[in-house]
Formats: sequence, structure tokens, C-alpha cells
Amino acid sequence: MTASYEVRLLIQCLSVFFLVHLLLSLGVNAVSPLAVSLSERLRPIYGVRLLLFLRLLPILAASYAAAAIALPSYLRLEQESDAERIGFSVLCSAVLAIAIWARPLPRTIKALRHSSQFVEALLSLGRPSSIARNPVWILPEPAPRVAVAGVLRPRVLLSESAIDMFSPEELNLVLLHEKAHQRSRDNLMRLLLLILPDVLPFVRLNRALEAQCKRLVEWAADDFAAAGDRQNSISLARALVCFARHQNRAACCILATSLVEDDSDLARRVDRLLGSVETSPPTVRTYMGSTMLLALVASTFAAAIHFADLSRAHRLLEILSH
Amino acid sequence: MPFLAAKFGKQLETYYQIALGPLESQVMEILWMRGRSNVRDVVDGLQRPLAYTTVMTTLDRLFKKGMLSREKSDRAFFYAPSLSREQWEQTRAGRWLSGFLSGPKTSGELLISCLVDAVEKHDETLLDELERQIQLKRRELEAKGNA
Repeated sequence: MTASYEVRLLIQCLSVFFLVHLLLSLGVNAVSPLAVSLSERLRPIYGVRLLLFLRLLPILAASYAAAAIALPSYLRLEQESDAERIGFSVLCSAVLAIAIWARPLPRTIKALRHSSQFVEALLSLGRPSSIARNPVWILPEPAPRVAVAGVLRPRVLLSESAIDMFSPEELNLVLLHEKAHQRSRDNLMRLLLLILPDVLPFVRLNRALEAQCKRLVEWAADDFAAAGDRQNSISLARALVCFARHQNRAACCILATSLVEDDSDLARRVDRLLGSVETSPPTVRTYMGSTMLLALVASTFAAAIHFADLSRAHRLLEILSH
Repeated sequence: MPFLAAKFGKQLETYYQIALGPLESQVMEILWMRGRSNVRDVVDGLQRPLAYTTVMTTLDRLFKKGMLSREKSDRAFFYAPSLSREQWEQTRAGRWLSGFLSGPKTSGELLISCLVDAVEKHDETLLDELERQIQLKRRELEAKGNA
């Protein structure tokens, strides 16, 4: 296919974006079991950062490669001829670069719309209040609800039945837990994970990484609330179990964080709070995992530096396009 | 699963067709553990003393059901499992479920409601266990505080 200078430029950039994204997504997917196991040995807050960095690495590197390497190298070094042939593979990868957004974009728009309707509905039912100097929104619901809802302005939602259910000490800890979610903008992180493109159209890898990220976010909020105090940890554990027993499972929103969202992780959270989780020393697998992670990140940076020399990047683009 | 039997009656037919009796299960366990064995090996592996011929008949029945493969070596048959334990469990669960779901609509719905009940019961048990652990820790902490 022959195309004009501008169309060729667009196709080249999209193609580079897709290829870099694909390569790195596969790389991240290969090291994700090791990254998950490594993240459990770190403090939850650092574990979340590590996993989030790995999850974002493909799109960040792909955007950098397209915008900071492919685009300037093409503009500077490509002769402005009227029309030139474009290879079939480049054209395909450019189409795929657009197609990988086919699912994340509608999914995100739907989630945002649902989230705003959800928050609006709950706010219209409730009233603003303050408990132990924590601003909360009290809801007149019969089933216990403790959640942080809203992406840009996260609010703590608390049902009247939840206030009755917890002791004052537990309620304070539960609010601290939710405050941790509010401060670390965890709903925004959820949105970010939702909007990240698939590896191939409708093929989503790295689910394990995302699930672990959400799990660690809960652990980090638990640690923040308990603040290393044994009594607090036990009270928070009791509050979690009590809430899990009575919570309303039907009405939830993908962009809201509930006190107990994933029952499968509840036992683990309680074990952590009770201090029953044994931390085993790092194994050979952990060392290998760390090395592979470092190698992946280092090779990404090395490639970025290597192709920062635009003539090299341009040579590679020429090979790719013909 | 008596509660299922009471609810589903005839639907359990498929399940029983592929189910194993107690002795057959024991024999399969031995073969999954030891691998290729002859009748004498299986008799020795059983926890209770059983006649050689009883075990031989059971092995033959399992062979006819397709659970075992056999080959003759000298004058004795050697038996080996045709499926791994995991494959067997998977096949059994799959056939059992599809048996129910292919039946009248109500059977499928009843099965799902039973499964939901079972999961809820399991969740309640888990929560009770967690509550017990918390009480234990609290008492430990209080005892330490008093000491």
C-alpha cells in the first residue's frame, strides 16, 4: 500500500507502539508469578508500587518509544517524498494498536458512568457527618456498608447499621482503614488498571498482577489502621469478620473499595492481623525472580537509551516498514 | 451426598454409573500410588485381608469399566490406571454436573441452589473459624497483659 508522508508517520508510530507494548506485556506476563511472590515479601505499600510499575511498564515504554523515538526520528530523518509503500506487517500492527483499546475504553466509560450513578444515588440517600474527626457520609441502609466511592473525590460511605454493628474502637479502626484507601487514591488506581489496553485485541494478560495489586492495597490499608499495635490488629480482624458476615454483597461498584471485597482473601488478612503468617526466608526462586525483574526493567531502559540515537531508531523503522 | 439424592432422585443415575464402590476405590488408590501392579501387589497393599480372587475380580471389573489398562507378562496380568486421579475426579465431576444440567430445567436450578447453599455454609464455617482464632488471640493478649 502506498501512503502519504503524514499517514506513513502515523502508521509507523502506531506500529512501534503496538510492538513495544506487545513485547513488554509478554515479558511482564512471564515474570508476573515471580513478581507476585516477591511482592508478598515486601511491605504491602512497596509491593503495590512494584506491581503497579510492572503493570504500567508496557504502556509507558510503548508510549515513549512511539512519541519520543519513532516520531522525532521519522520527522528528522525521513525524506519527505510524495508517496511510499508501507509493509503489510506494519499496517497490521498499526491496526492492532488501535484494536487493543476496543475493550478497555468502553469498559472504562461504562465503569465511570456506573460509578458516578452509584455515588449520586448513595449521596442522595445519605447525609454528611463526622466520626472521630473523619468526614463520612452516613447512609440509612439496613445492611452494613463501609466503602470508599468516587474516583476524583473519594468519600467514605458508612451505613447506620454498620455504625451499630461495630464497637467504637472497631469503628475507629474501620474508618482509619477507609481513610488509607482515600489517601492513597485506590479508586484512581482501579480506574488506571481498567483503562490499560489489552495485549492483543480481547486478550488480557496480567490478571494475576492486578488481583495481587488489589489484595496488597487492602493489606496496606489494614497495616495503616492497625499501626503495628496488637490490640488494634485484633479489633480490626474482628471487625472484618463481623462485616463479612453481614455485608450487602449485591450492591457494589467496580470503582469503589469495600471493607471486605474479596472473601477469598479474608482468611489471609485476618491471619496477617493476628500475626499468624509465617514469613519464610527468601528462596532461590525469589532471587531468580528479582534478577529477572531487574533484567526486564534494565533491558527496557537500555533499549530506550540505545534508540535515543535517532539514526539507529530510524534504521530499525526502515527495516520494519519494508 | 444424601441431601442431593433426596432432591434429585433419578438424576443421580449418571453419577452412579461412573461411581466406584468402596473396594474399587481402594484398589484405584493403590494403583494411583504404586503405578503398574499385579494382583498380588494390590492384595498386599490393601489394609484388610481379602481373597486373591476377590481382588482379581475387582481389577477385572475396573478394567471393563475402562479405569485400568492391562498387559500380560509371563502368566500374570499387570494393571495400570488409564486416568490419573486428577483426570478421574475431573471427568466424574464433569459428567455428574452435565447429567443434572441436561435434565429438566428445575434440576439444574435446584443443583445451583444446592451449590450456593453449600458455598454459603462453607463461608459461615470459615467465618466461625476466624472468629475463634480472634477470640484465642485476644485471650492470649489479655493473659500476657495480666502477667
